[in-house]
Amino acid sequence: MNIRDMINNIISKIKEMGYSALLNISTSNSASLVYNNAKLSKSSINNDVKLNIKAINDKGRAIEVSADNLSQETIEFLLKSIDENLKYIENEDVNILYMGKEKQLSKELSLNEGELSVLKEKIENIHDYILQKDSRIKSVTGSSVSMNSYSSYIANTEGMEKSVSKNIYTAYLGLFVQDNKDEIVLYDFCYSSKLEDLDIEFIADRISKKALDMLYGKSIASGNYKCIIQNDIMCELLHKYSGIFSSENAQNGLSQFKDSEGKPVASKVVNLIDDSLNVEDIFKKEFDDEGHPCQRTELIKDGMLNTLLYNLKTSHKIGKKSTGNAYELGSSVKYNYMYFQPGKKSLQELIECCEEVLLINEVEALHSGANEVSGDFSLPAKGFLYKNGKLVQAVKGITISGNYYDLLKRVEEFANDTYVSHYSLASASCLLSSMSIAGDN
Amino acid sequence: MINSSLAKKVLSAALKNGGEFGEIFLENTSSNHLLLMDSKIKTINNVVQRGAGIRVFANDRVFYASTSDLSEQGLLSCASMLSEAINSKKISFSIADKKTVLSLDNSYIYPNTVDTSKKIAILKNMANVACGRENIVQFIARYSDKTQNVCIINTEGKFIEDTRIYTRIFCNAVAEKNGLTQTAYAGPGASLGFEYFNNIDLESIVLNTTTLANNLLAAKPCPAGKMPVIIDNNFGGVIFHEACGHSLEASAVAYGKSEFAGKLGQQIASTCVTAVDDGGPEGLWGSIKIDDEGEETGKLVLIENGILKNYMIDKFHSKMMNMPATGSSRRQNYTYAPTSRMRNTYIAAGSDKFEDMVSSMGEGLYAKSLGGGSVNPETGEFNFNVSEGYIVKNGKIQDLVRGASLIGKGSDILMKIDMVSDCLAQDPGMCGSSSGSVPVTVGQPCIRVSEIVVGGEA
Repeated sequence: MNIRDMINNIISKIKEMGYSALLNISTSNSASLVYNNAKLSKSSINNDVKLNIKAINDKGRAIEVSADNLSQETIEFLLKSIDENLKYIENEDVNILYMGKEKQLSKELSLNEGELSVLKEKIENIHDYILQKDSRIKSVTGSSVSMNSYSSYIANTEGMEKSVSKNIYTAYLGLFVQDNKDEIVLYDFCYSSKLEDLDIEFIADRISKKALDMLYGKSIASGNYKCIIQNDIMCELLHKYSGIFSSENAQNGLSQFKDSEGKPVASKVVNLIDDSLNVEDIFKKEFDDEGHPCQRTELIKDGMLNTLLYNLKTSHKIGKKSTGNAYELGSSVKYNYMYFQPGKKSLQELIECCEEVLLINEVEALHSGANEVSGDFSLPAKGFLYKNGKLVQAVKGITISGNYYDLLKRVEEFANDTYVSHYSLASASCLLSSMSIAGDN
Repeated sequence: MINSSLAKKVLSAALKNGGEFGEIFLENTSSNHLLLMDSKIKTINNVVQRGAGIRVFANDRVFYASTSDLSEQGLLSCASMLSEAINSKKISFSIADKKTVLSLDNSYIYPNTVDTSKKIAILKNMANVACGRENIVQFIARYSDKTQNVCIINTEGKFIEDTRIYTRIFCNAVAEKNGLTQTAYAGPGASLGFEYFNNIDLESIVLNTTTLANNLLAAKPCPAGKMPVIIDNNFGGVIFHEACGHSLEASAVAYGKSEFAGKLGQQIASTCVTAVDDGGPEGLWGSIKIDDEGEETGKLVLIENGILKNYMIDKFHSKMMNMPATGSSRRQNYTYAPTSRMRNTYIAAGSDKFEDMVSSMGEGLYAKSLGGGSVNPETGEFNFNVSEGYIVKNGKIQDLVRGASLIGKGSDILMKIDMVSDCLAQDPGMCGSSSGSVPVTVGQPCIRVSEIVVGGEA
């Protein structure tokens, strides 16, 4: 049975049970090669499938079940558990379905068997290339290449049926750089929707330069510093705190932006936009996880919070329209492709306009050192200290601390060096009026 | 799940083009998750995972393939696909006719046999305790259980089946006052069934969590700098897990990507440090009777009085290192190839008294609870978030502070532990690595580190 037939079969059964429903079946076929110290150590092939069902009763209450196995036995078990457990849901939010009846089915993509050999050759050539760059580059400690063909089908009991299919190629590099006085390990990766566009040499150059520049780093005195957060780190922070723009979180008291629409929340140079329609193919998204069309949404305009992001349930709750940001069958809300509007100066010009400035180009521990609800963060960091536009020293052994809500208000200027992150968001480097740094006493 | 004859067919297909070892890992897992928010049941989610992973060792490499199609055709197709990438010397093998089935005794109540209403009652009781607590604006409680049935068959004659059960509760309290928001969290759990709730004081857990969230509203930012730190027991043990444990896993050691590689028999820690990884204790969150290669688990002394005694080793890396496997091979599920991982890891109790550790400290930080962290095993650089910390002045515990983190290098910290208390305690957590996210227990007595960099407000 093909996936469309399977979805229609499940929809018929759920209708017979007296429920409306939204379904998703995603498939992922992937292959990867993993290297340790430039020696191939693991080859993997994964063929995964995932079924998610959201069933809604006549009061609008919903329950979700999921499985990674499409056997008849599994599906019967899931349908039975819907019937048994939906009666226990007490949450009064009304779940609704997208009522459009569009059929928007994309062409299914697949992987070519020979492509893994091409990836293998590319990464193995890069191993030699990197090691010849500088004698202080001691090893490519870890590296990998992978290719993944992903398809996702969604349909609901109102007749909506949509699908999307993408191929993604990824390469990952970890370098160990050492001399007598210092050592450093850094990681980097690249990705592309086309094999020929996967530029491993570019990240090999980028990571090598960064690692060599960061050697001999030392701590700096604790204190408040004028600070530039590098573009990729801005993306990491935005990803970590993206939930503060979710109406679901706001309605549940988990975002401090709960009553902030129409109010200033950031410095006037901050403009934040969600738009997955006008981006490169790999991030393009035309409909959300409820089948609702995506749109361009200005979240922050000149420092003012215009709107949060909504799905059908959260928008219905306050009489608004969905912004097309349903995630995981609408059980939550998430950005599609979010970015800070860049400024006009280059990063170097931004550095040169400060008497003293700390450029942060590495942070760690976002999973444990940053609290999405309070906004507080305390994170180990690395970077470079500049005075009068000149590099003074590489910096390590410090932590940066503050609050993300407060950080948005301290933005003085964005550079023009927009970086596009694999998280489907983008930012330029950002000058902050101050950042608390813990280093030497 | 599978019989001997089909297993033989599948492994023969996987080893068609050679290989020195073959293995099938079959899994049938069901889990149940309930979420309570605003004192109401918001979501109930049932999840089913059924599939197989097939692994072959050949030419010093691991070849791995997974499928969720457990039919004979599905398994054979997965095995054939895997074999296409292999070109190696062939072996002959036989499969054990009889499967060994490990079973739980009757004292366990399988969570998937418990009525949903009983699980809901637990969350509601927690919400009732939290209701009306000072400045608490949101209280979220989650219930999770998992029943994982695994079957492992390999070309060395292993044919073994085990069932693992996990039960866990989470609570998050959000406190708010004058525009300031703070949160606190607790997540007790065990490798036990629903009977776990007969022996756990959920009321105290909720009260402690809501109290901490409220108290954090008045807490000042932690001062930054180098200072002595006492790290409490229970989840404080995450410092050993991150700072040292990962660096003792064969997946790092075998490639020389660990600061402790090649140091067996050497002193790598202060003489007051003895550290253990133990897969055996019944009911602990990280306990497993057999690992994910079907090997028996047990107590493994990693460091004894400061001397490095053992690494945690899985089957593949045991061949590379020419050392025996230690029952430490784990994976999140069938889609991951297993590798060496921690189970229940802790620093053994010492003889110091907590009161003496504080009174002789002078000034520093008492980290009562850590919130998690990470490490780079190659350099040993680690970091931790302190979720509950207090300033110590003149040998006395004083004000609660917020926003503290600890950073440093594992090998340095091990040598700087100068006192170890007599009160060992352990807590559950989830550990993420190359073979996915697995349940582990971290633990220690209270330890004192003579100097560590504390991140906070300058």
